[in-house]
Amino acid sequence: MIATFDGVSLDVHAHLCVFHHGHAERDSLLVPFLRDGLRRGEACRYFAPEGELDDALSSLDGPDPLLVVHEPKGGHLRGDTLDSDAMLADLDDWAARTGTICRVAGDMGWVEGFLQPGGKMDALFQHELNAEMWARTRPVYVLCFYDLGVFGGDVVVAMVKAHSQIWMGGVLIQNPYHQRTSV
Amino acid sequence: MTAEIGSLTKRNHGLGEGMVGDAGGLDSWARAQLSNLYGLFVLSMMMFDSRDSAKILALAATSVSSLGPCASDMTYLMVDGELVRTPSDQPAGPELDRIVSELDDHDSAVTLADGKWRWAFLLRGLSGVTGCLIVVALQEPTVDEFFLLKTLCQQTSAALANAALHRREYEQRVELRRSNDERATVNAQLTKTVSRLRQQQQVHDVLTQVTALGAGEPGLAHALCDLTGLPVAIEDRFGNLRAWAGAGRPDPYPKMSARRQEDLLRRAARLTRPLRERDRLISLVKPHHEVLGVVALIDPDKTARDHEIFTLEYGTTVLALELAHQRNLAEVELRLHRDLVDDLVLGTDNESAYARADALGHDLRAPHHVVVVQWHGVQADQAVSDLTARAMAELEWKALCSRRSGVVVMLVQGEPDGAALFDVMARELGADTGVIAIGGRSVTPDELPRSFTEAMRTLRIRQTSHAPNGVASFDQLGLYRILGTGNSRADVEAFVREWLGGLIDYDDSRAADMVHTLSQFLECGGNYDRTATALFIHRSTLRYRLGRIRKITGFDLGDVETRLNVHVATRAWQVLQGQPWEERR
Repeated sequence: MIATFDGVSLDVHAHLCVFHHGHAERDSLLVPFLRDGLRRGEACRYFAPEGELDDALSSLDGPDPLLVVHEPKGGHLRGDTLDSDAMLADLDDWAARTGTICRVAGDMGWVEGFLQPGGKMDALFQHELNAEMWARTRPVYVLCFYDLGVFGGDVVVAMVKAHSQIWMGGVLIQNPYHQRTSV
Repeated sequence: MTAEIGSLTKRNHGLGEGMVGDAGGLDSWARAQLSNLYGLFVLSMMMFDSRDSAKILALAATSVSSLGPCASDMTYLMVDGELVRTPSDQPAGPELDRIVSELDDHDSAVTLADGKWRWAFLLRGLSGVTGCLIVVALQEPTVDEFFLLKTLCQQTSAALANAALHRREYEQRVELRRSNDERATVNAQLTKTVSRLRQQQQVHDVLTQVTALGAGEPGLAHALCDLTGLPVAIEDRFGNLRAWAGAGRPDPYPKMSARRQEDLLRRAARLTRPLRERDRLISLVKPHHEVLGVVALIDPDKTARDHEIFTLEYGTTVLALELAHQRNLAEVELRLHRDLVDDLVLGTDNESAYARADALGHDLRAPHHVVVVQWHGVQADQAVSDLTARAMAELEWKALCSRRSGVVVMLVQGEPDGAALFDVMARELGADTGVIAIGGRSVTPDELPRSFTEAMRTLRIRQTSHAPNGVASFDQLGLYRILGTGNSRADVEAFVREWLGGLIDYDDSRAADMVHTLSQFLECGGNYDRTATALFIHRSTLRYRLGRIRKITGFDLGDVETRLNVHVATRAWQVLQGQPWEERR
C-alpha cells in the first residue's frame, strides 16, 4: 500500500519536511493524509499544537481506536527539554503494537518555544536525524510540518538538511544529500 | 543563537559527531556542503516565491546562522536611492550605517570598534544595488562557509530582483487595469455622449423639418409628442390652448385665473430649465424678453429625463424663433400697409400705388371703399386697431389697414359689409359705442382721398346724429351729403340763421336747449312721448319748451312748408355743430 500526500505517492519509511503557510494550508494537507490512513486501517498519530487537540480530533472524525493525538505539554515536550530518545522509543513501541503501517505527523510549531530560551537548534536537528533513522526501521510515513510564518531561514536550512524529502509550494523535492545520524 | 548555530555548522562541517559519511561515495565534507547547498536551494525557492522584499531579506538574514559561524548583523534595502535599515527596529548602528552609505559597488570587509569580523554583501538587481546584508562572526569564516554566504546573497539578490520585477509587473498590471477601466469609463461616456448626440441630432432634424414645412404650432406639438412619447400642449401666454398632441386632451381645456397664470409665468421665467408644475413640465416661449406662450409636456408619472427636457427646450426655442420671425414679418407688413394706406388717402399716382400694392399682395385695380372706424369708451386705440385687423381676417375682407389720428382707416376691396364688421367689433370690445363709416366707391387709387374724406364726414355726421353709434355709409347720407359740403357752408349757415336764429340766440343768452329740443321733436316725427324720452325730460317740460319755441319763433309746425324748412335747418345745425374733421385740422 502506498500513501499519497497532496496527490504525490510516498514510499513507506518516508520522512517528509512540509513547509507550509498557516494552519489552513497545514490542515488542507494533513487532514486528508491522516483520514486516508484511518480509512485504510492504518494507525495514525498526530502531534498537535497546544490547544488544538479537540479541533484535530474533530476534523479527523475522532476519537478513533487507530488515532492518537497529542499536545506538547505532558506529551512529547517535557518542560523545556526535548527528549528525542524517549519520544522515538515511545513511537517505536506504539508502532510495534499497532501491527499496521503507521502514519505519524507533527505540527512542529511547538519547537519554536523550545528553541527560543537558549537556541537549541542542534537538539532539534539531532532529533530530526534520529526520526529519519527511526523511520527507516518501521513501516511508517513521518511528516513534519513547519510553518514558514513561524520559522525563519535558520530552521528552514537546517530542516532541509535533516530530511530526505521536502514538500514546499506543491512540489515534493527529493534530498539525496540529507544528513544522517550514526545511531 | 549564533553560537549554537556555529556549533551545529561545525558539526556539519566536520561530521565527526553523530553524522556519517555518504554510502554512495561522497565524503562527509562533500555531503555536508551539498546538503548546505540543498538547503540554500530550498531557501531560494522560498525567496523566489515571495513578492515582499523585506520578507526575502529577513529569510536570508535568518538563514545566515545555519550556513556557518556567522550571523546577520544588519540588513538594508534600497529606498529612494538610499540604503535604509530594514526592518527599521534593528539595533541602531550609526557607524555601520555611515560605512554602508559610503560603500562603492563592491562587497567589502567592514571594520568596527568591537574588532569582530564583518562583511558587507551588496545585493544587486537589474537596476543596481537593491540592498545590503552585513554578516558578523567572532572569526573569519572558512572559504567554504564564505562561499555559502556569497551564494545565499546571490540567491537573495536574484529573489529581490524577481520580487521587484513581479512588483513592477503587478504595478503595470494594476496600471493597465486602471487604464483599461478608465478607457472603459471613457468609452462608456463616449457611447453615452454619442447616443445623446444622436438623439439630439434626431430632435434637431425633426424640428427643423417641422419648421421648414411650415407645420406651425400643431406640427411642432405632434413632433414633440413623437420625440418624447408624452402629450404636448402649446398655450398662449394667457393659458389658452393653441395646439395639443397626444392622448388625454382635456375637454374643456382648463384655464387658470389670470393671477395664477401670471404667477406661473413669473416662476418659469426665473428658471433656466423647464419648470415642473404638478403633472406638467413647462417651458416658456420667450424670444427676447416677451413671453409669447408656453410649451408643456404632460408628464404625470414624472418620467421625463434629460432627453425629454432637451427636446422640450429645443422645441420651445424653435417655436420662439418661429413666432418671433412671424411677428417681425407681421410688423414689417403692417408698417408697409400703413405707409401705403396713408399715402393713398392723402393722394398718390396710380402707377406707384399699383406697384406698391402689388408688392404687398393686394390688388388695387378693383374698386375700393375707404372705411373708417372709431370707438368710444375703449382705452387703447391700438386695441381697436388690432381688433379691426382680426375682424377683417375673420370676415375675409381683402383690405389694407392703418391708423390715423384716432381712427382706424381701411381700404376695402369690393362692397364692405359694415354691419358684419360692427357686430364683430362690438362683440369683441364688449361695447357698441363705435361708428363704422364707409366712404364712396373709388375705381382708381387717385379717387381714394375723396372716399376717405367722405368716410370721415360720414363718421362725424353719424357721431353727431341722434343715433351716434353704428354703421353709416356716405352713399346713404342723403340730405347730409349736401349739408356737409364745405363749398356751401356760408349758404347753409345763413339758412340755419334764417330759420333758427331766434332760438340760437335764446339758447346762447339763457343757456337753454331749445334748438336741440326742436330738432329732437322733429326727428321723432312730432311724437311727444318719444321726444321726452330721448331728451330725458318730462312730457310737461317738453310741452312748455315747445310753447316757448312757438312764442319765440312764431312757427306753425302744422304748416308743411314751415315744418320742412325748420327740419332741414335743424339737421344743418347738427352738421355745423359737428364741425367736420377735415376743417378742424
